[in-house]
Amino acid sequence: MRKMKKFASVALASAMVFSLVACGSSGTDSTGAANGAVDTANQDTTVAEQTTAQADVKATKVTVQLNSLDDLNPFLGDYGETISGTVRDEIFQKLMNRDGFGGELKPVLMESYEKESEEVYHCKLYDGIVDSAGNSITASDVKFSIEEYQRQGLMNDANNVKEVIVDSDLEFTLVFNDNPSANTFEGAVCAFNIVSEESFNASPDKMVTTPIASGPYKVEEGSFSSGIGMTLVLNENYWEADRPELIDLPVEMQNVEVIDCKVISESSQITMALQTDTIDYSESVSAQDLVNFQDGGAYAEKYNVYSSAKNNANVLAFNSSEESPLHDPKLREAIMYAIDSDFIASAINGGGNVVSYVLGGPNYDDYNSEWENLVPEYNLEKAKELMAESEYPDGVELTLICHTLDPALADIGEILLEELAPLGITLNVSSMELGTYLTYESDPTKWDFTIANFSNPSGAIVNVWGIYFDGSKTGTGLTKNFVDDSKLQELIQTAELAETHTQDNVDAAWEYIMENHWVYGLFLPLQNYVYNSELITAFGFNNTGSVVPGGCTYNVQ
Amino acid sequence: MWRYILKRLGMMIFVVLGVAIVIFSILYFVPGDPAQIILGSTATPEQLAAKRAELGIDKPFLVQLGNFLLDIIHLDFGDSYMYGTPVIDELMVRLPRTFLLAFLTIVVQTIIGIPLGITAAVHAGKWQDSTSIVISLIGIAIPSFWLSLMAVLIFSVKLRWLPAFGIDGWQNWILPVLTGALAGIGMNARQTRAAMLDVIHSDYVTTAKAKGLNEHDVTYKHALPNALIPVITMIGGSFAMALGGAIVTEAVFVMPGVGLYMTNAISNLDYVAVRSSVVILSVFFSLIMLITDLIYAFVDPRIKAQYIGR
Repeated sequence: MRKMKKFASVALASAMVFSLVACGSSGTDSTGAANGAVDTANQDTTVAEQTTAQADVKATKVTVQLNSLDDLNPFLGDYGETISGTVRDEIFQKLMNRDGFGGELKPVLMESYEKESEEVYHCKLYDGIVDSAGNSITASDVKFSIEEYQRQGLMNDANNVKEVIVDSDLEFTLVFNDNPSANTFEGAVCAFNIVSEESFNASPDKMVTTPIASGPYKVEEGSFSSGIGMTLVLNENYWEADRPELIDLPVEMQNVEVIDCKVISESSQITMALQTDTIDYSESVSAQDLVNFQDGGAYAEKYNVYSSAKNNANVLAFNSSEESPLHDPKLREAIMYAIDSDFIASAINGGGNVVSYVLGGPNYDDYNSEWENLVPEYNLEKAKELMAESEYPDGVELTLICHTLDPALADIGEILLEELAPLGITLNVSSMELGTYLTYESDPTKWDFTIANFSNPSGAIVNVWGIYFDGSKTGTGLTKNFVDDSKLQELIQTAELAETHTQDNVDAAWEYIMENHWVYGLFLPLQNYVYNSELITAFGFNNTGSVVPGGCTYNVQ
Repeated sequence: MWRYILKRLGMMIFVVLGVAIVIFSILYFVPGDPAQIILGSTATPEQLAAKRAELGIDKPFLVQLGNFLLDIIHLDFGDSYMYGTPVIDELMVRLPRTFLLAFLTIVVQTIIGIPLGITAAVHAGKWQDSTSIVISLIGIAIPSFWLSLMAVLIFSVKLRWLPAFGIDGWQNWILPVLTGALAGIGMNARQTRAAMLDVIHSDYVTTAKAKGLNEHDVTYKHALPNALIPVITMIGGSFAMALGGAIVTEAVFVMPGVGLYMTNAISNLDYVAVRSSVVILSVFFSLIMLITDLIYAFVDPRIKAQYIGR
């Protein structure tokens, strides 16, 4: 009996290990990329063009994967947009939208606008806008929608709007708070979902499960199931359907008849869903599983991978308060020389990431490629010299905190641990739940490093910096990494203000930040789209860079 | 007997209130700010303060606790911080899914585990006993996460016999139920075997055999009822635990039930959703324990006599 138990235990353990090895092994493709390494050379980059035309013949159906689906409240704000932004853009429409991240601003509901000042814009809607219930959308509904955002308090940008004045059925005036930031108008018109007040009030659950809006698609009745999915069908009352001259953006197109949305949050299940043809594309396939869908992979015949760099860089932020050893600028500079960003970019998430030199990304309107020259190149000897000149020549113990929402952050921490060890720096990497992280982030005694990652859909990179460096926005007068520097505040706020938002001022702000070594750019994470290449031939993107299914181009043979 | 049931139901109120106080206290002292999670890290201190005031989390501990307990008494379980929707509505959608998963899992565990244990006990020391023990060990030792993914890989991806996820049709429930039940089968089998071995060597069982009763009657009419008490305890406890949400199963098979809801609520510091869910589940847990105790009375007349005497 005892021998049999022992044998069974050993056999079972061996079987489990064997199966884990077998499942984990991805083999190698023809160029030798192995074990989940993203082979950027072998990726299909031809599917990068955005769709620019409404298709004459619609595809029948596309099945998309969502990470979650709990609530379709149009006023959920940033949190809601994160959850299911792509499908929200199929249901709700905004005043304007961009042709991809950083793309040209184009009209959607709003036909035109006239800028009176940085604070005041006179706007005009298209006539004949109706939602899927047949209710007209007018200037009063724009006022209602923005005020509802403010009332629910779930979108910070709504607080930039001081007032919406209804001038007529189609005309309204947007009045922003005094001294608005750069691109405040551009950010606002791309942010707010506009719905009819009548439809909203008539909805039994305030559009949580039964949204009524003017977008190209509507939720099929009874199909919404929290946490499971829903089906979007063509909005038969779509006001732009008979006005094709207005359809210019992917978010306005109806290139497929049915969008079936399935919630799959587990990464291995996402891969299996693609392998079993249950879904047609996903933006959430893990780096380790990508090789299955690239050239040479087991499923490469039908699927392909398109990769593009995201617009929110991972940046290492230094706690510059007196509570942390990193208040010493020489120590910060030494660390910057000791970090090999190229290696980190090539190692994280299977590699292929783009090295970043700035907080933000290159697709912002006011990005300057000259900033890349401000970043010190990896030089361990130089790092050691600077370390010797710092207040901690014999080394120091530091703490890096990060949250668990993105597992890559902890991996970055592990690499930094190795890269800083030659300087005598002992790095403790502490990964925690988002709630705890956000609390610790505001406490200068809890961390020395953290990895910051922000984006802003307004299109101005200085607004991303403002989140982190503008003391008037953090509310403490200090930056988020506790820098107390009046010159920095002056430079940042000058660059942020719409009136003084010039390239020279933006450059001056970033040069000052780099001079003082307050942050260090790591990389732009790669966004990988695994798609059914027999069905999808081109992607359509919204202003945040997410795919909008209705705006893709399909093979309809 | 009715007096016993009413007494238990009365005690349940205190149990639920106690659970409410404990969970509220735990969440109060957990680090993190729900307002920060809702508004994001770009929110200003003024916005955060306003949101905290709106959520009522800027009030002192005792005030918040008092408000919460009053709400519980009025059966007002509040609205989720994250979504603004009533927690009770969300739970009423998800609870049936979790209940069905738990129920089916328990049924499979019971109809396979108990006979397996009985067989092992009746043939103690023989190959049937060894086989049963090995199967039990395998069931208990295999991590459910690994087993679930293996099952999906084999039956959905490779063989394409069953769907990989979802709850659309009856086929979707086969893999989650079987993979979720395996550990319980092992535990039920071992518990049944141990209890039966205890009972089989009792004097009354020996007497029954001596009287010439057949093996089947001795095992199922005389031995099994007395061996079932600890097994019933285990099944009741397993069902109550499963009702709390088989998080791994729900996550792997994308079955949005109570487990996933609570996991997300905890991650997002959605205090209202977490504490209201815990309170509601504690009610179900208490009811299940009561039903378990009543089943004891049905199975064992001695216990029924004790209940009636109280």
